[in-house]
Amino acid sequence: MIANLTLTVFAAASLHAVMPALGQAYTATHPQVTLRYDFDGSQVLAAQLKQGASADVFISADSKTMDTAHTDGTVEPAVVIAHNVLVVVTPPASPVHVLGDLASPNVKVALCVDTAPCGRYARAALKALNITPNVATEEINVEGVVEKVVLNEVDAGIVYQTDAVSAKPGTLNSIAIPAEDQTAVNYPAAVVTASASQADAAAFVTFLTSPQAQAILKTNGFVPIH
Amino acid sequence: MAVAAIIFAAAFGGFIALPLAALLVHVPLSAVGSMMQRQIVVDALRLSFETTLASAVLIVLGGTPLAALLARNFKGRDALASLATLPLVLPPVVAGLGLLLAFGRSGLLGRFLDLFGMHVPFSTAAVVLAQTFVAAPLYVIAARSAFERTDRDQLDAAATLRASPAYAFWRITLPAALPALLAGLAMAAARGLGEFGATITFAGNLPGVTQTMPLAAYVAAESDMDAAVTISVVLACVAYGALLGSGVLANLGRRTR
Repeated sequence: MIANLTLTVFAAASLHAVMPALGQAYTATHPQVTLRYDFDGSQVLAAQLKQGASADVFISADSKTMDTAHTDGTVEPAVVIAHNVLVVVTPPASPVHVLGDLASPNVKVALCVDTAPCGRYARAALKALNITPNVATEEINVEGVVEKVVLNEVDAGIVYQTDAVSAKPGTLNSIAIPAEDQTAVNYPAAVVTASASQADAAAFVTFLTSPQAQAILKTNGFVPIH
Repeated sequence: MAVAAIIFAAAFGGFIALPLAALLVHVPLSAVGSMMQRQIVVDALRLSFETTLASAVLIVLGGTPLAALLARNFKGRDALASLATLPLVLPPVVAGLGLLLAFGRSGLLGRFLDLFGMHVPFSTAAVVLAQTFVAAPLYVIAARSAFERTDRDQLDAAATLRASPAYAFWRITLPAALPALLAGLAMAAARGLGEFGATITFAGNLPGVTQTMPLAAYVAAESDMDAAVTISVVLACVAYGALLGSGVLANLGRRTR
């Protein structure tokens, strides 16, 4: 009998919708493992890990946050497990129909705070599009942006394609951002250096790159790595 | 006092003091001056000062009559008193969601405000409303208890001399309650200054507009720990000062009776 084991996964907020499905697929073949999740902005989780928060796996929504965590000695070398794409999401009654509408001063836009990956990606895309929006709020993580759009409190938000896919049908419309105007969104995953379950954590990270996990990620709107 | 009790009391006091000491140790006092000039700190300080002042005014204007009402006997008083105190124990994020669903542009009242071009969420006004909602109970509780202690004999004497109830309130009840009102206001202002959950949910987070000191400390903690700690130290010192001042005023209130 193998002893029961709990793995704590610190994952970027944009993975919130897909992680339980990935976890179920993993525990189906590893019944001795229980997975626990903590979702927040990647930069929030990285700061917590640096301060000694106990976790086994860290999945960031960008390479920058992960690289910093690796340089700090917080995590082991990472592998990219998925990609994502930025989109503009709008509530059903929004005056925003094309990307150019974001430039109107009457259009309220929610972005992530610029220390969060989603905020950095969004600002880079806006710069490439040469649009300066009227930013109403800078949310700590991407879920905050989605919430403000779903509640119709802003006219648009810049989030990931996966957020538009996982939203309740009819609550969000999405407008594509051309590929040439956005940088690749990477999700690197790494074993936390202080984890007491290095081998099991590494096995879970390896699973995330498997064809089975990639298929689940694809179903949820992520771009698979192969 | 038993030795064991003294040890436990000292340990518990240390438990409260240690995190505050850790904040003070993190940024040397000599560095606080230069940190205070960082843009994120300057913006947050100014915004917190303005919004706390505005919410304090709202709390006095609305809370004083409410407390005076609650000091009287009427049917349903306890239900109303509990309602007025509820924000004190409500999780602030719940307060924020409620405010958003009430004053948001699709909200119960917000959809009508929207018709007049009034947009509350993500504005400095939203910060003030969040602070008022969360902090008002501290003032109302203090004010109600002060009004309830008003000397009945003096009021009766005033009535005998044909003073109107309004005149008696301004000349007798209010002056006697003043120190307690100020003590409650200091507590409420300190609570409003520290407001985080309702603010970030209802007012969002935008530097210079809705990013108050607690929000700035939270955001900065991920990237600029020194700025975060500087803001925290200022918040802790102001809150401690407010509590000390409140205590002095409360004592003064009891002595003048």
